[in-house]
Amino acid sequence: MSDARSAILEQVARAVGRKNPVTQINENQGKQVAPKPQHIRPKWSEPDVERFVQKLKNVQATVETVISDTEIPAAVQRFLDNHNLPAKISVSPDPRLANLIWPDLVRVTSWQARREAVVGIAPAEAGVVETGSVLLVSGQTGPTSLNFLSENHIAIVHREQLVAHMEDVWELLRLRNEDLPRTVNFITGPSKTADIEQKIEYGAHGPKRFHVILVDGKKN
Amino acid sequence: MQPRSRDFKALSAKSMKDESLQGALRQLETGFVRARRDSASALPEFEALRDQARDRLDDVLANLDIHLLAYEQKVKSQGGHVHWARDGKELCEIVSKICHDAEAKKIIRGKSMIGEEAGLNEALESDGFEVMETDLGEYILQLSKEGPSHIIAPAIHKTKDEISDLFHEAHKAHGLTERQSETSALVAEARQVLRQAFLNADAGITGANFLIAETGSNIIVTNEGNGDLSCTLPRVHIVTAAIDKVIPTLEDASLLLRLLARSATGQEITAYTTLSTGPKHPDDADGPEEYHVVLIDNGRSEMLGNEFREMLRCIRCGACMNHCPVYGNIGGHAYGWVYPGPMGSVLTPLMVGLDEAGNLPNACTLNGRCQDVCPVRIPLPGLLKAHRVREFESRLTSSLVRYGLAGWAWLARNPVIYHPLMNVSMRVMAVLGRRRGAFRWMPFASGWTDVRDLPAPQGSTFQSIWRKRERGDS
Repeated sequence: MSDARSAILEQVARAVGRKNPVTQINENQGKQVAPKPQHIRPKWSEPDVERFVQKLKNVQATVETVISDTEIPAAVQRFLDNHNLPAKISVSPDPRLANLIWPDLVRVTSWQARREAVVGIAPAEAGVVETGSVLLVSGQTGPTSLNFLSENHIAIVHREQLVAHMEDVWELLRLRNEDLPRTVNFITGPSKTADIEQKIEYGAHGPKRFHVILVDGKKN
Repeated sequence: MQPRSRDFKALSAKSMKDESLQGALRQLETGFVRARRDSASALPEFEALRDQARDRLDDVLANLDIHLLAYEQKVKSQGGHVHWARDGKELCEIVSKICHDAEAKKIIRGKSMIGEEAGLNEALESDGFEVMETDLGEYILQLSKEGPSHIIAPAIHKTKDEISDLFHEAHKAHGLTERQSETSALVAEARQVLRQAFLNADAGITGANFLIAETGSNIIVTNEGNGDLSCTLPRVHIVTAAIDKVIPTLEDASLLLRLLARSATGQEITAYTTLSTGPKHPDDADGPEEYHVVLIDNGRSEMLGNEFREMLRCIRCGACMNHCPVYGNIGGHAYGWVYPGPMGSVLTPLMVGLDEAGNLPNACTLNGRCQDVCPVRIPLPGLLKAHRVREFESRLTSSLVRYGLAGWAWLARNPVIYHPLMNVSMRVMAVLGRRRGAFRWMPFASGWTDVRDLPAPQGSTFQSIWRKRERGDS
C-alpha cells in the first residue's frame, strides 16, 4: 500500500504548504520541528505520600503502609484474610520479590496459574503522586498479563519510588537508554465500567480490587 | 456503517418520543456534565492547560507529515509494521490481510472509533473471521446489532432490561441460562464470557488515543482493562488510528492526558493508561509477537488544508455532546452515523458528504456550550457555520430556504423599507396577541407553533426604542 502512503503524504504536504512532499526524514528532523516541550505541571500543597495514598483511595483502591520489605508477606496475608481469599498467590518472577519469605502461602508461577490467578502480586517501577498512579512495565520478569488477569491485583511501591508527575516517569524511562518496554502501564484503581445505565461497577475485565502495599522504609 | 444522516429529521423525531432514551439523556447533566465541572474546577491549571494543548496541537498539525514519518521510522526500528490507508475500505483490506497472513481466526476488538468509521467488524466477518467486541458497551451493541450512540459511552441508550434480554439470549450458548437483572450480575456474566474470548484470541485490534513519534508507541486509555487484555494476550496486536493522532513527545501525551479524562468522565486519569511499543521483546514474559499500526486518512489530510483544520485537534473526549442541548434531546443515533453531537456534525459531512449529512450542521442553536467545554478549544459553532456556508454555496439547501434568505437579506439591507415594515408588523402582532400574550398559531411558522407558543411582541422594535432613548425621550 505504498501508493496510499505517498498519496496521503502528498496531500498532507500540500495542506501544510510545502512545495514538495516529504517522504523520508533523517532521525532528528522530528525533534527539530518539535523540541521537547515544557508543559504546565499541576502543583499541590499536601505532602507527597499523603496525596498519593488519598488519590488511590479516591478511586476505590486500598493501601497499606509497611516499614520494610520483610513485612510484605504479612501484609498480603492480611489482605487475603480481609477479603476471605484462598491462600494461593501468583507472584511476579521479579528478582526484587525473590527474597521474600511467604510462610503460609502457596505460590504459583506457571502461565496456567496466571490465567486463573485470584491474587497477583507485582513490584512497581514508580508511583505517580499527582494522580495516585502505579507504574508497571513488561519485561523478562514482568508479565503484563498478571496485572489484568488477576481478580485481585497487589502492587508493591517503595516510598523512594514516588515521583511527582508523569513527566518524571518519562525521564525514568529515558534513563534506561534503550527502547521502551513493550508495555508501560499506569494503573490507577481497579477495573471498572459504567456502560450499563451509567452506574459504576468494579471488575469489568481486569482486577476487581487493586491494593497497594507502600513500603515506607522508615519507622514513624 | 451505512450512513443514515439523510434521515436526520425523522430519526430525531423518533428519538424524542423514545422514553428510555430520554431517561438516559436526562442523566447526562447529573453524570458527565457535573463530573467534568467538578474535576475541571479542582485543577487550577485547567484553563492554562487547554490553551497550551490548543497551541501545541496547532504546531504539530503544521508539520504533521514530519511527525508521521518520525513515528513510522521509530515503529519500524523496533520491529513493528506501519500501514497506510486512504479510507475505511483500504483499512479493512489491510487488517484482513494481516489477520489472514498471521493465520488468525479469532479476533478481539478494543473500543475504537476508527473501527466504527471503517466498518471493520462487518468487513472482517464477511471475510470469514470471528470478531468479538470486548468493551462492555461495544459488546452490548454487537449483540443488538446497533452502532454507538456516544463516543465514550457507546451503549448509553440501552436500558438494563434490554441488556438483560440480550445477554439472556446470547449467553445460552455458553451454558448461562438464567436471566440476570442486576448490573453486577450482568457485568460478571460478560466478564466470564469475554474472558474466554481473550484467552482464545489470535489477534487483538485496538484503537489509539495518541501515537507518540518520539518512542513509536501508541497510548490507550480505558477503565475496563479490555484494551490491555486485547493488546497483551493475542499473538498479533493491530492498532487502527487516524493520522491526526500523532504527537511528537511523551510530554505532549501527559499534557493531553490531563485534559482527556477530566473532559470525558470527570476522572483525573482513567484506571488504565497504557503505552504499547512494538512487539514483545525476545525475552519478555508475555506480549504479542507481531505489532501492526494501520494509519487511516479518510478525509483528514484534506481538512488539514481547508477551514476545518482545527477539527483535527479533537481528542475524542465527548464533552461537546454531553453539553449539547440538541444531543441531549435526540441522542446519538439520530445523527445517522458513527460520530454524534457537535463534533459529529462537523466530521460527518466531511466524511460521508454534505449532500448526505447537510442537515447535521443546521441542527445547532449556536449556543456555544460545546466550544466552552472543548479541552482543545475547537471553535465548533464556527465550523458548523462553515458547513452552512458550504451548503448554501453548493446549492444543497432547499429553494424555499434560499429564496427566503435572499429575500430577507435584501430587506435587511434596505432600512428605508425594513424599519417601517417591522414597526407596523410588531404593532399589529402586539395588538393581536395582547389577550394571551402569545400565539398558538402563526402563518408560515407552524414549525415553531406546532410545539410551543410564540410570545407576542411588546409593540415596538428594539431599534425604535433605541432611537427614542438616543433622543432622550424616555
